[in-house]
Amino acid sequence: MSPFRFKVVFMVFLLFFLCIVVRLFQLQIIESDKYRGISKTRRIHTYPLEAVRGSIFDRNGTVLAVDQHAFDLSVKYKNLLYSYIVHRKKEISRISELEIHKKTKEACIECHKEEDVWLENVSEALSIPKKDLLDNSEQVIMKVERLKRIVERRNGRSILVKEETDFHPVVFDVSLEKIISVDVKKEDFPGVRVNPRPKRIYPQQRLASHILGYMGKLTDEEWKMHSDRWNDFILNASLSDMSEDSSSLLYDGYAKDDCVGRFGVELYYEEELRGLRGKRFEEITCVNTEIKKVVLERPPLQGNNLYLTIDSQIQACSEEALGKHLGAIIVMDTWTGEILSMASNPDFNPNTINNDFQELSTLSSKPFLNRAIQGALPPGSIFKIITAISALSDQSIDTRSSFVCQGFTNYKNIIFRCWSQYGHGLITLQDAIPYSCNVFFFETAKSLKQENFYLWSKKFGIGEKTGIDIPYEKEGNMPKLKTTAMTMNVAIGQGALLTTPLQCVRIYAALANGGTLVYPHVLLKFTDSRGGTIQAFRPENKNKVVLSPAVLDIIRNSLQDVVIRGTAKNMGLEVYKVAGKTGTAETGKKGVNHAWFAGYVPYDKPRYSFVILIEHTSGHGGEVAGPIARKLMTALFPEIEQSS
Amino acid sequence: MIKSIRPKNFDWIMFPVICIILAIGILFIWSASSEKFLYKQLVWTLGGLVLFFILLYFDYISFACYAYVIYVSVLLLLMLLLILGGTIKGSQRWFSLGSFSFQPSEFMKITLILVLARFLRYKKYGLGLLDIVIAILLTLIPMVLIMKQPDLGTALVLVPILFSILYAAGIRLFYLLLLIGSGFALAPLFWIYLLKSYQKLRIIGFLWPDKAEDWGAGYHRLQSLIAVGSGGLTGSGWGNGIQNRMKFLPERHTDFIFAVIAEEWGFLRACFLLLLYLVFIACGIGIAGSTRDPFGRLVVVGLVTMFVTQIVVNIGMNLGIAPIVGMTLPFVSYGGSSMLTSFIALSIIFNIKMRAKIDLASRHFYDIQ
Repeated sequence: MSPFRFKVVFMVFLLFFLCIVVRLFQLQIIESDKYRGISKTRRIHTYPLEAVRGSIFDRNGTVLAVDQHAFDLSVKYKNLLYSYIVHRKKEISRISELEIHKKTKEACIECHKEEDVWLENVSEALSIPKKDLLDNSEQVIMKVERLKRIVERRNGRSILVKEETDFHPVVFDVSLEKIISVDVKKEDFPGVRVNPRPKRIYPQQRLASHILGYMGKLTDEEWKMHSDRWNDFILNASLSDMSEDSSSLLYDGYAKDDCVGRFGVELYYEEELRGLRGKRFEEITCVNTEIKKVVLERPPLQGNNLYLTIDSQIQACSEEALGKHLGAIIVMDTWTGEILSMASNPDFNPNTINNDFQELSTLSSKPFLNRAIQGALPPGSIFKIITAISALSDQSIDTRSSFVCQGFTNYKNIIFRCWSQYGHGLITLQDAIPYSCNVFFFETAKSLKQENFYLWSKKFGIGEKTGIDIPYEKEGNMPKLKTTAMTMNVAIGQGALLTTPLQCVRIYAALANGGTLVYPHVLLKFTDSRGGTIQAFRPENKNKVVLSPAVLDIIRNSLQDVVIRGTAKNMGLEVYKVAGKTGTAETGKKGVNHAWFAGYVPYDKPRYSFVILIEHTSGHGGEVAGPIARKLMTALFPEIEQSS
Repeated sequence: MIKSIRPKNFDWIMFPVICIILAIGILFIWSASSEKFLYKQLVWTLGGLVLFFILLYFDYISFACYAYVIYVSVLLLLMLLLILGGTIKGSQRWFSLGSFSFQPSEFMKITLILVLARFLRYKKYGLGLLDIVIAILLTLIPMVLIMKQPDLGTALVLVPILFSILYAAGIRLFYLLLLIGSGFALAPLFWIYLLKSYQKLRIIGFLWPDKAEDWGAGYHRLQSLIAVGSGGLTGSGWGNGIQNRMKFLPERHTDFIFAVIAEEWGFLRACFLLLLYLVFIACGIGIAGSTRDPFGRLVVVGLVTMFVTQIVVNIGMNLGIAPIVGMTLPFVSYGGSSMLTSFIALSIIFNIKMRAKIDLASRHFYDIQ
């Protein structure tokens, strides 16, 4: 290779270095004054302007969650320090060491009077004892001084730390009226700054806490994830529209200590509810950190309001009906999938969650579990209708098929017991459903085509999420049917079969509405801050389970019979024209069952589908869930209650 | 046969220059961060020096023999990293072995130089198109892997390395220009498929600084400019930089260490540091020019290019004339992998100077062909 090429390479490198030197010269010699000015005296500080989070309402406009303004008062560190020294008569070691301070101690107090004014005035305006203010000041001062000592010790000389120039909050949660009195007379409160801070309030307290969720602080990892996503968003916005000014670029993403929805719709609809944070740019001087002027302000954008399908009265009654029982109640519109109430007990109070969280999360009853969508349990006898539909549809049985129930049956030396040890005698489907005869379904299962049975269960959404707009839904489990014994167990809703109450309520809604598998949802609509509807719930394509009208008729009639003459008779449910099915699922522990009751009402013109689940109870489905169903019906049909 | 080194060929200009640069680096890491980083950096520096002298005792020709093996193993490491690497600051650059973590992408730089030099060392009658294509592929594969981590800075260093080695190996000027042209043509593909959003933000922030300041991506750049600019002719004095002390300058001890130096030391002494680097580069080019073994020659050219790229891009981004990509200033920035890589590269350069003048090239090397 020619030496010429080495020379060229070196020349190129030299050129690069030359560019650097020229640029360095430009920055450090020609423009030095400009930058030195910025560095020494002026500094742009940005303060975030918090956006108000959208409120959450029920379907009738009752407020379920709302952002209230909370106000904190921050005081400049210098002012805190002087008041503290003057009133507590304590010395801050680094100041007392200053020779000049010792000499002019009395005069000092006099000339710093201005710095002490805030204490008197704040105390008076907010009627807070001076002692409390000084106590809070003390905490701040101790922290800052400790920090300063550490920094100075490390560097071996006196250094101004950033915290000394900051404002520190000393009064928290001041009411709006009082804060106004401070804000209008700013000159009376030198060194004091009002920090508005949105605070989430749940006025109905514990009502629908599992649906609403709560707010919690971002962890570092979540914050990173959110800021990455925000970067993506900004990037896409700026790339798609490079020439014009995109307004979204003016706002900020999450800040480090932000609260986000942690659970329920607060989490699910976080994006819509959140709003966009604004920003205030302030130019401050480094000499006394006084605000020189506001350079620019981008006002925050309020989040959208969320209307839920929940009816807070029905919700309240459901929660009341559930009482102290561990379990869940769902009431759903049979035709649209709108959830009118979804109760899960035990619950929690989202207002006090930050104090209660530790205690609640250790409870064995798991109050954070939304049993309506997360409790995957064996459904027991309420599953028998799917067995019946499957058997009727593939003609394993018909309405005349009958089996003898002696209280048990056997298969390959395994004894399968009916819940009634005396047996039901000769029994057909029309009686097997109302009396919930296990033996009938055991025998049916023996002749059932296993693949078809599995497919029918799948068609009804067993083992699959319903897609409700609440996070953390469980899918339950539909086991692959390998043996006849296994099929027999599943046929009566036991074994490895697991369903959530939400899946069950959807199945019974499908029976009532002629086979449409609706999408359960809690979103009714979003409105903007002025009340205009932005987006209403749009159902996706609904799944339709094709059922022959004859089969549907048989099933519906037997479900009515459950209330009239079957396992749920004499409960007072026939007045409301309830059609449904009780279920008792064994837990493996003797005498401890899960009691179920699922159905729809009224049977001639169905409006509501419902499911009631009581976990770990001693009674049977009808005994435990029946009275609760009755309480629920009085809430759903108050007019009937009055007339009867 | 292993050739012995000749101590009299030790470069007595380059070595002291590097020592002074190291001292400056340590001085400013002390100023820009806590003592914890200072002690760690001292350990890395001493470890690097020890490694430097140990590596001098190995004949660099053996690097040529094993170049392909090393290349494939580092490639595998990079792939493995993408599959199971730990995540630090959102990217998968590090392997963690207990408290020690290392960055395979750093070693890839040297590995690529070795493999390119080995491949192109005897193409003295001009490079054929096929040679060029293979050389590009050899570069592109690790580049894509490194970008996936994502480590834009390290990936970008590989490009000038390829170009300078091709040039030194005698590529026709026409091909070189064609290559540069097609590189620009392919840039959109890299943009769409390989860059992460924050990297794109930084590049946009460099190209349209006014827009970038609107959404905070220009923050690094602005703070760095303020730091450099306020340094003036003589600087604010060591440990007295406002931008540095008040923590307005981000990544002060790694990517933006030069801004700290410029703020506290001023124009004159910053230029002194640049001069030291230039002497180092000149020595390196000198070694390349006087080495008669073509493999060694290409290796030195590649290594010097690697150093120059890092120096120019790092300082360039401190001065607001290069996009902000994570790239360290050799022998100055804080960081173990960077320090060790720099010392390994330095050691190879010294190794070549101390051995290559003995005869044209090792007979042993021809024997294995």
